[in-house]
Amino acid sequence: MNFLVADDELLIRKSLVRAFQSRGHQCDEAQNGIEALKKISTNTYHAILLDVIMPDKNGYEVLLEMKKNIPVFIISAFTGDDTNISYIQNDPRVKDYIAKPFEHILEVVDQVLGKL
Amino acid sequence: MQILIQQEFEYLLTNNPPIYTLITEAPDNLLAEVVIGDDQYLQNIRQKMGSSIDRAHYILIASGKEINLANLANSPVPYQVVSPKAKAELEQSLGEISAQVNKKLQIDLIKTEIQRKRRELETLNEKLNLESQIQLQSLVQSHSEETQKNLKEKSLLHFLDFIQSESTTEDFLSQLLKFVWKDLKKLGRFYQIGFSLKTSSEKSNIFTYDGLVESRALLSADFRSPTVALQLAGAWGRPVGKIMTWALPDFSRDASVFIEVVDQQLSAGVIENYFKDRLSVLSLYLDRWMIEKEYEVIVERWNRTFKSFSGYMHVIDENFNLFQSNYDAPGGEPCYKQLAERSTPCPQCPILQNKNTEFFLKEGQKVKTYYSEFKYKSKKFYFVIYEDITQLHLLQGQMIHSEKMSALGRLGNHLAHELNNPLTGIKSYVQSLLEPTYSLQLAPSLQSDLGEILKATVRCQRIIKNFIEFSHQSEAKLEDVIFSEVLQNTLTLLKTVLRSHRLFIDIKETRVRANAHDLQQVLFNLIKNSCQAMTQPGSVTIFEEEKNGKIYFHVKDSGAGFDESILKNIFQPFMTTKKQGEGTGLGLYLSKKMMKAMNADLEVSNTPMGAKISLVFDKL
Ligand SMILES: [Mg+2]
Repeated sequence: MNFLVADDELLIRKSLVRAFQSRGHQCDEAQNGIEALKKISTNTYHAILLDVIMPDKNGYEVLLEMKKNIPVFIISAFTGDDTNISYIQNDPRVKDYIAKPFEHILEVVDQVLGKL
Repeated sequence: MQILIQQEFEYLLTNNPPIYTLITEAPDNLLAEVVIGDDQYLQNIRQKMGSSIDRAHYILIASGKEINLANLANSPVPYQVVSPKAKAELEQSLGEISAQVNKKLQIDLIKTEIQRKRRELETLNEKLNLESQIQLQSLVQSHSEETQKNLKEKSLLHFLDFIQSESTTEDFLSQLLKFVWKDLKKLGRFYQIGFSLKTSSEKSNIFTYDGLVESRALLSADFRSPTVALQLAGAWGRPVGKIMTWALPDFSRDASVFIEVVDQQLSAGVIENYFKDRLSVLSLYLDRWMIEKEYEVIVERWNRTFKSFSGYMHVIDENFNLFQSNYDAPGGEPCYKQLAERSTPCPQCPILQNKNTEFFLKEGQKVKTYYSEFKYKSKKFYFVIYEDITQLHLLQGQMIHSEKMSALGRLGNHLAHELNNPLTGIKSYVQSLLEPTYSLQLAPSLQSDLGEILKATVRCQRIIKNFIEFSHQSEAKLEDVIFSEVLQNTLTLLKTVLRSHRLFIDIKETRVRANAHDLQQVLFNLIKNSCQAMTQPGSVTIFEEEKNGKIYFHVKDSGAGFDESILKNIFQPFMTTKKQGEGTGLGLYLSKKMMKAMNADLEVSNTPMGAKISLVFDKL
């Protein structure tokens, strides 16, 4: 399967790419919202792992502007300051929330694969 | 001497020297001393003259036997018988009679004289009597005048004595009323007597006594007005007799003594007379008594005020020596020693600084001072008030501290989350590298190094987690508190900021679930904000409302309200309506956070009259 991970943190992207590959899947990277939207519109993904706090359009904006119906997994620290959480909750494409910091990166990948 | 003689015997008499007058013809009323004749003649004379001739001497001229004794039988007087031949004998008898008559005449004369003298004496006596009576009368009169004068003086003395000895007693006014009443009662009838003392307002204190009942009333009646009786009738609700008034001279205020007379039995003149000697003395003593009494009240009130003040109050002289204080302190000691335990005056002393100051008297005690200067007996004194603002200072400090801590906490929180991101990246990447499919390709030393890195990231995460947990930990302990009590405690700390504004409070004894300390901080912050938002003297209104199962406590000011542009971000940190340096702008943010921590909420809105901030609690 083909995945997209949108996160401004390089090592999170890299570790997720490695983890998906180790489970035999493909994973693309986007380091901000604009890049993510660009890649979503041109490529086909089975699911998107979306960070919330990102420069150049954050996760909410990506969700808002994304027209395709692709399963979305929110990866965020959920500090409680996020006032737009209800919007995410009301989007049917959001399949699950995965709280940062992760315990183990492979558990994250397994959680995503299990929901598909 | 007159002799009535029968004509036939005239020859008997020679009348030489002439000692008698001879009358022969007997007139009707003749007072003859001697009658001479025969028995027939004598009888005729006596018949003719009656008793008027009884006193005369009768001489019967007869020659022996020819006397008709019967003619003389009834003669009441003695008569002498002389023979018609005995001329000499007759002469002799006449001489004797003449002498006798003369003697008698003389005696009569003396007698008359004596009688006259006696009469004179009697008249004189009478006159003397009258005179002495008049004298006596005037004597008696003057004596009674003296007595009356004495009495008057005695009464006056008694009055002076009374007024001097009683003017220092507690109930002097009442005693004076009774005394004057008793005195006047001796002079005539009247109904009652009273004093009218004008108060500082338009009303007068009226003290009356009617011989039985003493009463006191505060009413408006002008005793200088001729219609005072009407005014009193209105006030007393009964008909009032004639009111006679005498203003107390040289009294410190409008005061008069008055008498109510019903049937005009006691005239104004009498009372006028009575008061003439007494009014000025009475006025003087009563005034002194009143002033002393008021002075006592003022001193008492002053002492009570002085003692009740929660801070320190000093009256000190120029050398800082204590003259009076509102707490037990030995007089004469310098204030700085007493209060600040210093050996020299406090550097921040308002007297030295010439302005009201705020400073620490000693460690842990901050005061705000107010001072004023006055002269007493040509010496300079200072009145200094120390308001203890330690609590205020502490709370203010706590507020600033918690603002700082909150800012720091937020920064830390932010930092922690920011750190978590790369840390998660590092940890995840190391985890992915240590995935058996990759790790087998790595050198064993590198594998163990990666293991160390993983351990370090885990340790870092634990530290961050602990930090975040710690910053969330300071949750307030909640209990049932009476909102109004917390508010009152807060207001005492806000006296200074509230001074120029009016405060209206309309809340009940409602209990809410909160932390008293935090709620106090929130209220302190909100009310202070409200006051500072008003550039001109305005009002702060705090009222309660129950709505949708919630209790709202609204704090409303009369300022300009919140700027609409910041209203939606009002609870964001660093959002401030104040000038730079006045606050960090965390006040509302922090207040909201504290309210949230108490499971309560804070709402702000603009009203047509100013800003409104509402503390929202669940109804218990
Ligand atoms: Mg991010």
